[in-house]
Amino acid sequence: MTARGPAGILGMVVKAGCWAVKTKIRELRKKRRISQEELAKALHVTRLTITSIENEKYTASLPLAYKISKFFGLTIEDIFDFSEVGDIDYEIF
Amino acid sequence: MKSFEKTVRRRLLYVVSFGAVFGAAIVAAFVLKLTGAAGIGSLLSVELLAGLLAGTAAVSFYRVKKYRKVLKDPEALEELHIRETDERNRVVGLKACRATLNAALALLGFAGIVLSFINQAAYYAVVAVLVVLLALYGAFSLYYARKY
Repeated sequence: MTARGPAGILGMVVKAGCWAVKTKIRELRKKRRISQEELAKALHVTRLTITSIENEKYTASLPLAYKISKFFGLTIEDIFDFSEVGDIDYEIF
Repeated sequence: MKSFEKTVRRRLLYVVSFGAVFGAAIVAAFVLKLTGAAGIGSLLSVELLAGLLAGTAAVSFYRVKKYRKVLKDPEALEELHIRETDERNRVVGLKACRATLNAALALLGFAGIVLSFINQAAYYAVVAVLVVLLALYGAFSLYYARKY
């Protein structure tokens, strides 16, 4: 956690976008020739959710990440890249 | 999926009941207004009543049509279930609610300041709404903080 700017009188915020993690869903999906629609149906979510996760705009919840990993027969770490999660940039303003 | 089907059936019943009761109330007010009888009819304009009636009818018909279609088609039912339980949709809804609350509180606060110079009754009304909203927010925050 890095403190920036003046002392944190007003509080801390997590910068928008820091929570989105990189995923290998798109490449795994293309490898297996599965459409977003098919994957969404199998996981019981909307196609937009899959799109957002693939585009790293939204991070799947733990249960959904588990379902995705089960679907591809891999572990959660194989699909999601959590290496940047430790570098969450807190900003004090 | 069976439990969701039951939920949709219950919703359909609610929509029909609400539409019928609200529609009847508006029609009654409309009749009172047109016949010149005293009471609620004199408080509302014909245009407002007509708008309320049309709006209620439109929303009720749309919902009834939607739920009936969903109950007939298992695929549409599943699609609706997915749409409603989708976690991203829920996050979007929560964020939208939060942003709306913040905007409403800010606007009410600003309106209160402005109205304090113009109209005392309107100022108290806005302050009352603001206080109720803040009290509700505090109560729900406390409830969810204890729940989770």
